[in-house]
Amino acid sequence: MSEPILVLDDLSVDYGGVSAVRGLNLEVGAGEVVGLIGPNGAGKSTTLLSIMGLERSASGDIRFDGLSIVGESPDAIARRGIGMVPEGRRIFPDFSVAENMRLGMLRRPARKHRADLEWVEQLFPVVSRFWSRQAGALSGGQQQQLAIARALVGAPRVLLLDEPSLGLAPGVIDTLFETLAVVRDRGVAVLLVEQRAQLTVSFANRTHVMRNGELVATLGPEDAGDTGRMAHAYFG
Amino acid sequence: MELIQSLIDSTALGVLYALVAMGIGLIFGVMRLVNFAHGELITVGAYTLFMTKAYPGAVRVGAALAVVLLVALLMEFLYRPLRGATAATMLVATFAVSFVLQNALLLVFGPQGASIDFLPALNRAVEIGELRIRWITIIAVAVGGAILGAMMWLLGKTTVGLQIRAAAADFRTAQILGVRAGFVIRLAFAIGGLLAGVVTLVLAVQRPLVTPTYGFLVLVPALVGVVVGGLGRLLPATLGGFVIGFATVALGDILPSGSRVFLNSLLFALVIVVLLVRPDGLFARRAGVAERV
Repeated sequence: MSEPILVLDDLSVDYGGVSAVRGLNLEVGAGEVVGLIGPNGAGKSTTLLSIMGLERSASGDIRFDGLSIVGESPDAIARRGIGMVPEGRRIFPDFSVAENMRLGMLRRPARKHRADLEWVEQLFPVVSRFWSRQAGALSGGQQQQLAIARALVGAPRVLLLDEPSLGLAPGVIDTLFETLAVVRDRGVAVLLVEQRAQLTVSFANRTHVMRNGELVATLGPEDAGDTGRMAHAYFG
Repeated sequence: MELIQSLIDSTALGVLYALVAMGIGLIFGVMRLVNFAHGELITVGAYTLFMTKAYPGAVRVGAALAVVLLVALLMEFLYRPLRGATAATMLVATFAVSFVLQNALLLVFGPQGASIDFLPALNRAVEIGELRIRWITIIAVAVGGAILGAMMWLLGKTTVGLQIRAAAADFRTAQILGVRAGFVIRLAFAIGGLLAGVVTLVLAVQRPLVTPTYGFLVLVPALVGVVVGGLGRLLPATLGGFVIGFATVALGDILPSGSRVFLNSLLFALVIVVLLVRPDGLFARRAGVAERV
């Protein structure tokens, strides 16, 4: 059987002289959601940043579709087919929604733009409704939808999400996870960093718990109701 | 009538400084680097015009633009290891490049100055009623205005412009969307170089004696303009350049002839007042959310 689309192989990352991620092994296959949870400073975001080429790994390997992408520039990694919704959304608030989306489409050939956009607009009607509006004028939930829509319109094969539910109302979070299910069912490999542990564990195919830069436990959806096991994995 | 005359002359210098300011602002936008050696692009262009004296005007224009573009791209290559370096490191490095270039030109051409002799006929005035406007002033306003307009179109309406704006607003996010970092930085230097080249051509007609500090003396007021307008965003920076150029000529016309030696003192006193009142720049919006281009 061929290798999963995204493989982290004994990955270690130093962040500001401190060892932020140590010997991490992780795989995400097409059509899978893998969760990554853990306390603040556990190394979750650093892991995503290093996959994206924004943090240099100290050792180990990151493979996309069987090929090592370590050392490649973030834009080259993006063009390979890895999309990211960074922490804090990072939409361009002074640009229109349309311009934000056009940036998301950069890595795709022009002939694919219409189909990509149609699919994303179905998932996120907010995009077409506010197409000409300044992105900074949207509500927090709408901005989060725009950030995900912008990542998806580039038709990524792997989608990295860094705390997408942060600051969102509970109802909006439910919608967000429903949308992620659609994305997963389309065959996209999703690596989801979240603070909402229970929701993530119940939603993801499997969820890894990180603490102090190391992977300390792996939970399945069946563990979501077992608060004792979850708390033990989370806090040790 | 004197007022209109003064307005036209002020606009001409304003447009010139705006072009320099835009070049500086573009490069700062995508690399967070204030290129102190930007003035030397103009100087190198002026010496190219001097060196090609024997050739027809079109050849000289082409040569000057090509050399300035080449030097701008060389600067980009030199600054490449500085990406992500601290502001202080970048500042010292660009100062160094500026001084090395100035002194290299001093060694080759000497300090006396060389006569460029580039289209001197354009200094003749055309009379419209009581107005006497030099051809080069009309050309400076027209060409400069057209280029500024074209730049606004490029940045606002094209995909390439969108990439430059995105890189200037949030470099990391632009990169994770697939914006090629190297490409937008090289492009910013190339455009900045071409803008400096155009400034060279206009300046060479107006100020026909080139010395090693020829461009540096233009860079300083333009840079002040960039800071006055707001360093972080391209349009305010460009407007700031325009304001400084405009104010230089306008103040010179307003001051009695005996007091013109105080022109720069007065101008910089005004700059200090502006920065005390609006430290982020005259045209800056509230900090934090401002788009940088």
